Amino acid sequence: MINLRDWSVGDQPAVIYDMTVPGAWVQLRQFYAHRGNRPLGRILEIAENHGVVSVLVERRYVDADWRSQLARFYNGTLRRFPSVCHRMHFFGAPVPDDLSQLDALQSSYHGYTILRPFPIAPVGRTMIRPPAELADAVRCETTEEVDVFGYRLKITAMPFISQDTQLLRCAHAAVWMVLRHASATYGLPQALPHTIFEAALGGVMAGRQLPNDGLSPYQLMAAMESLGLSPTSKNLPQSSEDEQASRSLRLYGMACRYINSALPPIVISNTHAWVLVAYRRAASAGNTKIQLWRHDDARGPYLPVDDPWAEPEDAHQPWTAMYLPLLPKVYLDAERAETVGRSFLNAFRNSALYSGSTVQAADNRTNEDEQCTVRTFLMTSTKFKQTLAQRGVPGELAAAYRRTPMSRYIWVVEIVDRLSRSNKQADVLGEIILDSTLTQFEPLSDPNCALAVHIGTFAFIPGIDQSPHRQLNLPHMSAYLSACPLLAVGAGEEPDEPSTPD
Amino acid sequence: MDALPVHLHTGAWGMMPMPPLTDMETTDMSTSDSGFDRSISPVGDQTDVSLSQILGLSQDDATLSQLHEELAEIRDNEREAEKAVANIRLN
Repeated sequence: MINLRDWSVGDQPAVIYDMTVPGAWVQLRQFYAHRGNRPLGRILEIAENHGVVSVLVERRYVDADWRSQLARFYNGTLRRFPSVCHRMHFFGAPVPDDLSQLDALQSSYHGYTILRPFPIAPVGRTMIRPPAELADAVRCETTEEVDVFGYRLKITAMPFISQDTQLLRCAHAAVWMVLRHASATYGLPQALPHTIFEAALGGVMAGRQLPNDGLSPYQLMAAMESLGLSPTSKNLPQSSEDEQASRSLRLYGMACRYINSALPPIVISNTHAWVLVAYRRAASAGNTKIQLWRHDDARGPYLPVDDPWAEPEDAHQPWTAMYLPLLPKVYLDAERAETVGRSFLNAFRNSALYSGSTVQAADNRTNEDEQCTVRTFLMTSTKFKQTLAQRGVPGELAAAYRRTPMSRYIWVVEIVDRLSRSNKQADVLGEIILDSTLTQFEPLSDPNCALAVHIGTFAFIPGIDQSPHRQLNLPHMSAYLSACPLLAVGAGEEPDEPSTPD
Repeated sequence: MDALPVHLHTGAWGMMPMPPLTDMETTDMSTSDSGFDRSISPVGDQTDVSLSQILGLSQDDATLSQLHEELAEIRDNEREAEKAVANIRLN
């Protein structure tokens, strides 16, 4: 328990810590956390690695999440808990004593963490700039405006929160993170802790609910569903050998598709849940090309995953299933979309159109890492159409796409030239665009099966409903940039998505 | 119906007589003789040939068989995922 008077000291609205003083980071951690709380330790580690020299702490921060936890649980206890939190801001430059012109420190602002008056689990909502290792990664993140004593600052990050061990457990925290991100990215409603707690009372309960012993995966699914998502779950390969044989159900492939789509997947083991938030093109023990990163509510934000099949901690063993936070109007999932996209690509390879195409030229390279692969992601059709010109899509094809009726969300299966990608050049040779509201693909000859198929100089747009088909024969074709919003915005380097064997 | 359940506005504007429909001017939106409208066509050549015909897909095609097989795998995986988590507690 924290002493109320220690928590709210006098009438000081803020305190500035000089982090260049030896031992400052350790002191800060010890004040807020018992027994070296890991999430707080990780947050301070990230801040220290960013070169933070000043920490500004607001001492009366009214946090909606903590108030929600108080109202649903902690106000029912005999002992009192403070109703206000502390909010800790990280700066890479000294903060002036008069707190003036804080907005001038925007370039050195690294985010914030909210500290609950609860030393066993102090970390509340946190937005901290990703570690430098993730500069070239594909990241799920949002941008938030932060008011600090009347000055407006911005921070871009993936939201993080830790469980409190009684009302919020790991699965609640994972849902909170996914929803907070989806709220900013896709306009879903935000959910406070008590709302998530109530939503998770659906499904098949496992054990006592308050204080909470933990959720069953059915409760996790029920909470996601009732809070505005439309999740699906997939079993995960149990070894790297299984992974190789899994085609469109590879662990790394699924993770990358949903991260590409700004839909961070929740992974569960037999006892724990966490959120995959980023991947980068770097070898790891589990994959020769990809390294995954996660938010783990009990361990902290932005932690690298070395090998899903050889996790050092029991809580992460085994990776059992992935819960994929699809949106309600996205009836088609990424795995089916990619499978259908690959079918069209394979049919193209078996047709007379293949000879002399850019796809054939790439396929003929002897090095597999220089041949074609596919990249699958979800995006809005409006964004897809609006970025055609700046991505270098040929004018005639761009005009055809703009006039094609599309669902609000579309799955885009891009055909990618790996050699161009590794040379950091435009790498898209074509794409299959699928209606996210269509889930029936038998027969594949259904004229409505794809919204558009473009490969090399060939493009075909099946008419919607009874409209006639249209075919384009493009005179010349050169590669253009990816439509994936996360690649365009965040990544300095194009990622290499693991390929699925044909 | 004897009475309306709402209070009707009866001010001067509401009392203004409407002209009979036969006196109203009409515009034929279906004609382009006056240059009033310009139809925008889809881009590309219209064709009666389907995508599957161009790509040479038939119902006994190996590509289609593989597609069906992979879609069935995904469905089976999802059903397994639902069953495999019965004894899990996430905390």
